[in-house]
Amino acid sequence: MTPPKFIRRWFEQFLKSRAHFGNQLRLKHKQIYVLPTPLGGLLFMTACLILVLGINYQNNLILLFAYLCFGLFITNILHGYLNLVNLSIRFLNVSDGTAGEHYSVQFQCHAARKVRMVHFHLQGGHAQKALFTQNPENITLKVPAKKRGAFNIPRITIDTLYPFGFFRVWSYVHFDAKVHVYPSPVKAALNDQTALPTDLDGEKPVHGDEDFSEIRDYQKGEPINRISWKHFARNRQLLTSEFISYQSQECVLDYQSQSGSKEHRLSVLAYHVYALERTGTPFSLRLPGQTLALGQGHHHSINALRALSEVT
Amino acid sequence: MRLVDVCLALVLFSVMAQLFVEYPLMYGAALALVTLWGLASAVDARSKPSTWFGNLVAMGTLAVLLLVVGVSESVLLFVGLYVQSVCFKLLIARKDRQYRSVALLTLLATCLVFLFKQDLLASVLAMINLVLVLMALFALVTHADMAPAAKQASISVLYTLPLGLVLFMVLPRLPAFWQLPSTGSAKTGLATEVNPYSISQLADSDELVFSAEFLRGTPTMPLYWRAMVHEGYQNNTWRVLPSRELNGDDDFGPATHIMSIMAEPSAIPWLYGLGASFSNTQILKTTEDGLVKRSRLLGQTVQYEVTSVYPLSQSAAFKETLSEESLRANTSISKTDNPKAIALAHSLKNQYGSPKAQIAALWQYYQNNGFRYTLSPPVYNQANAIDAFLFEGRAGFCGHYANATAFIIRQLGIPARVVSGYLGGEPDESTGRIKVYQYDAHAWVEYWQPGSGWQRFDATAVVAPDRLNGSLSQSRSLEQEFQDNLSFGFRKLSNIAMFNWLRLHLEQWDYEWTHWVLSFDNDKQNSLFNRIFGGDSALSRAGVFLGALLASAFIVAVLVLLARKRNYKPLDKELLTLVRFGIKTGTLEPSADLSNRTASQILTPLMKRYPNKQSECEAFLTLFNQIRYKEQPLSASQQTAARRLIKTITE
Repeated sequence: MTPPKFIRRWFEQFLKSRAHFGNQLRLKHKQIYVLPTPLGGLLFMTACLILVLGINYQNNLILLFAYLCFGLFITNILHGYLNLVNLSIRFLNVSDGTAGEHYSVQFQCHAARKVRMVHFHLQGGHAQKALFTQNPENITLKVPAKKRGAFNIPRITIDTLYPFGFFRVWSYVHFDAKVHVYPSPVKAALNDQTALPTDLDGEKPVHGDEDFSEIRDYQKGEPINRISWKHFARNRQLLTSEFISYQSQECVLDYQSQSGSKEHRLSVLAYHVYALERTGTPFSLRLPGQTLALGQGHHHSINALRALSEVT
Repeated sequence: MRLVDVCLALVLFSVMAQLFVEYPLMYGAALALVTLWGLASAVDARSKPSTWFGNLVAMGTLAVLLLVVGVSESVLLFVGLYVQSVCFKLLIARKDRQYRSVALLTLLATCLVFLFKQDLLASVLAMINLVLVLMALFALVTHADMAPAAKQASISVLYTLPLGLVLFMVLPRLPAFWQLPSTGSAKTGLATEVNPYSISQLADSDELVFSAEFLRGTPTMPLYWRAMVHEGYQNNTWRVLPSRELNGDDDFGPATHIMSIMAEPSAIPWLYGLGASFSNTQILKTTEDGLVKRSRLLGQTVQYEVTSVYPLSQSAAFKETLSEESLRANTSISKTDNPKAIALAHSLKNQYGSPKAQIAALWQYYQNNGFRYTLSPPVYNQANAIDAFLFEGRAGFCGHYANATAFIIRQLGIPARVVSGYLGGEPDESTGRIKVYQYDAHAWVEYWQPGSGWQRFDATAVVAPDRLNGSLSQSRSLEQEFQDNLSFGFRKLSNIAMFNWLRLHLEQWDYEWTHWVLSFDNDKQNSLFNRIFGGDSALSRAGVFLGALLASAFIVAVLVLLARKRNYKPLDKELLTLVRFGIKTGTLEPSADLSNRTASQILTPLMKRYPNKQSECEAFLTLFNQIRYKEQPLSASQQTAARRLIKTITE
């Protein structure tokens, strides 16, 4: 359930006014929020119950105990707040992800004094750290990437229940960095003659460098980069990934000539970007509103995938 | 084993150990077993019993509870029910959420102990329990080991204590919202019925009953502390009859003693005073017989002031006349049972003319017929028990003598009644207070004569004259028998000097605890404020509250400022002023990581923008670099110079 738009906008404005934005942040009084947890509410109720008991039985010790519980309520606010205050967070890096998988955000934390039991949340991504000291610590948040797209990293919630779980002390960090979530690749033939695999022309498929249509035993003399190292790591067995090669020396990936829905087209293109990168075939990309010139290599395909994720 | 389980089980053990005496042994043992079971199965969470099995056992224990406690003892039943349910909740707890709720439930269980026990030990244990509960919660949040959990929990409690104490002292006491059933847990050696004939053992409790401070008059032995008068006789038993309560303006005559008494919890409402007593303490009522009783708070230690006319025969109220009702109540007696005793009374009446002589003859009778005082009397379990005691056994304790004596005196036609209370007391050298223990319980007879009022007749004085001089424990001839009959306690070890010393000190601390904490009421609160501030208590209380609030706010502010100051290095503030100036004038880009820029990065654009201030900027930069990077200390004059430079630049 998402709150109505005007509330979200107001909340965004509120966070802006409290300086939660930036790639370097030190949590101060202004950015820290404290509210009781259900357990804290229960403590309060228990304290009230004890108070009533003490009053009705005119029992000083029970009264004293009730006041201690109320006092605990107050000191816990301070303890929780003092735990989180002055924690410094610095943005390090964000690695792009593929829809349906994860992207990860990396940042560095260090504290002026010990900070304990901090949790980080970002849309289903979760990390926890038992202790921060003055030595900087790197935190990596693995966030499930639900949808393809390019967007600013959503706000990260930093919270702690320290020390006894009566209060939740939390803050937000809004890094100023963009993350790209690539379309998840879908294996399908390109609708473009220039890039068609040869078997569509009735010719015999040529063993080449396309996606691992098959994995078979490694034979001496085969290129080493085709060995499936994943399998080797697992089974100590040398297997070769069998690929299908693209016939042409270069390829044009054109959005317009694909069929199906937008996301499907992008997914197919993504699949071929990966495949073309693996075979080392140069390719160019034509997308609505954006064209990527002919190129090859890892960097080029990253650019291509980012371009795919940016299509609106 | 998880720390959570251990901590919470320890709390439950501590609660059960303290409530242990209130319940039958079996029930306590069953609950302890359940907790042990939970502790043992907590080694591996999977071996914990399933919920339905736990509930089944809980039902069984509930049935046992109902059987052994019964529904009439509602508080005992409720507390037992509560502690039991917490035990089982812990037994079946698996998830963190369940453990959390158990932790809070044990907190309440810890409080329930105070309904029965309020001594220093109970309070210390409650504090330990609080720490243990917090340790459990801490372990749930952080998965920490014992040492850090214990540290954090203790620190939290230590920080909280002053706050709790201030609240305790400052917040006004509210009257009870509604009447709750009394805990009925208290013990007293006294009963509303005096029938000693089925008792074969006595003096088996060394619990303190009350301690008295004499504000006026001196405690001269023997001290007969009256608690109850038993005016109704039936079947060898003397009973307390309902008596009229005084409204406050009645007077027993000029007071001889004024005492401040601190009375322990008791199962009966009657309190203690010398002779004819009355009290103005709020929760107390005075009866027409010169007795004081409390209307509520039986389960608690109370402190009250009592004014006494001692001995009772001096009281002007009863000297000349006795009310019609009182006369009737104190003369009616059975003419059928105990024929031998009646015959004895007749012979006394026939032999001696005046009531005075008759009573003296009764005294002689006890003296000359080989009566013996013992704490282990034979059982006189027959219809004519008084006869059996007087003519066959001739051995008994105070109850026997009082019971039989009152019977005979009434047969003589003289108004008489049995009084129970305490005899003697042990003076405490360090405080001057008289301490009365449960084994000092005593019963004697009062008879009334026109002109001389209520006279005391204590047949025990005939057979055990030592008994009158102080406490039973000090009575030489009975010492061995007394020690034999005493259940195990410190008192038994009082021959060993160290234990006696320890006992007296523990009692002293307990007294202080009771005096300062347990009986801290509105009066004491007001007098405390009056002593500190004088004048109107409501106003001064508000003052204290505000003062405490301001003081804590001040402390927090200082702490925050200190914490903030620690983060600044020398000249940081001045640099920050420059940054603000730069941003205001648009020379510097507003950005989050300004604080990470070096001084020259900040000053260079300023110098470019304001060439006329270049020299000042350079001077500041030199100073800053000197202080910051060559780590020279900042002198006062340099600080002033830096401030002046900043002022010039930002003008």
